[in-house]
Amino acid sequence: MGIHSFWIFDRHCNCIYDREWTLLSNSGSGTINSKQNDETAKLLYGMVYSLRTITQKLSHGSMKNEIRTIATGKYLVHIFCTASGLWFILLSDFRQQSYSQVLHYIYGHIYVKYVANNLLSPIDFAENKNETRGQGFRKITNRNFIKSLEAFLAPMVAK
Amino acid sequence: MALDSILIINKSGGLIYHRNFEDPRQPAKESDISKMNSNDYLILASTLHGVFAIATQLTPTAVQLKANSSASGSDASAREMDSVKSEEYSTVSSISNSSIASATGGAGGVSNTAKVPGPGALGPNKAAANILNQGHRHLGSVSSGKKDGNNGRAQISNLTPYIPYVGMPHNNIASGGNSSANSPMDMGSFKGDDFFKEPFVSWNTSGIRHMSTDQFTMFIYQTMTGLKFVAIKNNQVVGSPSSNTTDIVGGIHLADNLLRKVYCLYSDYVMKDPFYSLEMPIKSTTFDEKLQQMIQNMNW
Repeated sequence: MGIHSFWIFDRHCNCIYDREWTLLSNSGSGTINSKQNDETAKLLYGMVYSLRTITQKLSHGSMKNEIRTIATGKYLVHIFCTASGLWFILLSDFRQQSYSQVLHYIYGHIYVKYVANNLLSPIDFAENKNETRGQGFRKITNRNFIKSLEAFLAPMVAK
Repeated sequence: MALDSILIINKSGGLIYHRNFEDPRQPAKESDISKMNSNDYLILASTLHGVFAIATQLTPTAVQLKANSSASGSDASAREMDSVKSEEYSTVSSISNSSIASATGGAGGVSNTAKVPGPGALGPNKAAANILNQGHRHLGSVSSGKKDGNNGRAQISNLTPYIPYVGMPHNNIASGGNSSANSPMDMGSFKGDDFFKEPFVSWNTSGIRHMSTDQFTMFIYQTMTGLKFVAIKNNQVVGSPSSNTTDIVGGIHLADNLLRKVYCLYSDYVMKDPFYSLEMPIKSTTFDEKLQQMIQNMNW
């Protein structure tokens, strides 16, 4: 198993996309935008948020200090934060240690292409005030986005 | 010396020891890290403690399934659970199957539109492989001396290899140009020229062990009693070629070796201090000195 799951969070603390693979032999297995993963998403968000505040407190100089990876005994977390407040998070095992280029590619060539440049896709996934404080439930359901993301990440699942 | 600071957090999440180290080889400059006051460090320590607890709850389903299947001794149960899961939740198998077909065909709608840096007209499959090759780093090169099973490559094995003379004054190691570091160290109640010489089991199986950012790397070593040793290492060190390594597992092993030695110092000079009350801040000058000496010997 190369990668375990992939998450996107928006600037309103909402999880707007989640994908979890469960079977190493089958890259199509698992869940996508699942309600069952809501709790996990909140935990993950909280963990990354706390560690981000720590990194920003401990930074030297004027250069912005962003968190890259977190390693636990069982898995690796790769984080890529954009200036617009989007977080791209990938959970993987220890076979490969850097996924930063993968996350860059997903942002630049899949997210921007199919979500940001899409007129029919909402600009902001929180539609009213009630959804901006982590209460949102809207997800990216764009067919093209899901399809190309699946095609891009599938070879990394069962490595 | 790239090590910025050492923190010790007790089992209830309080900071009991914190120390910043200055590099004697570099001119003293105003370090921004010292702008944090002791209250900030207390907050940092308890935040780390909380995040550590969260991380244990976040184990991916695939890892849980694997653990289950290896416990029951059959892969069938995992497969069964997965099929149940996929019926229960919204499945994506139909999407991904079609996309895989188009990807392998290389002429699907997705592959035509995916722009890859480099030679064009590659499918997303190839794009992924390309990108993976660019930033590729295998664990195999890290633990070359160690025989790891398949399982050990997918996750860190619980056995941390012994790395000789980490933070110890020894002739085998080129100590960083500091002649005073070569004098033999007083080992306290430990015999020999190193605290231990065997690989050891890490008690920190599912909590955070490592965090890397643009500027620093943080390592956490947890003892069986819940005490946490945290080392913060600066990434940017002038004139040290090994400092910009991205080797996570090797770094964790090295840090575990160092922090276990700090734990040895702790057990010697803090636990055997009759004036020390448990869970309270450490105020031991001997411990300070020994730690300083050990960090100076460490040429990270």
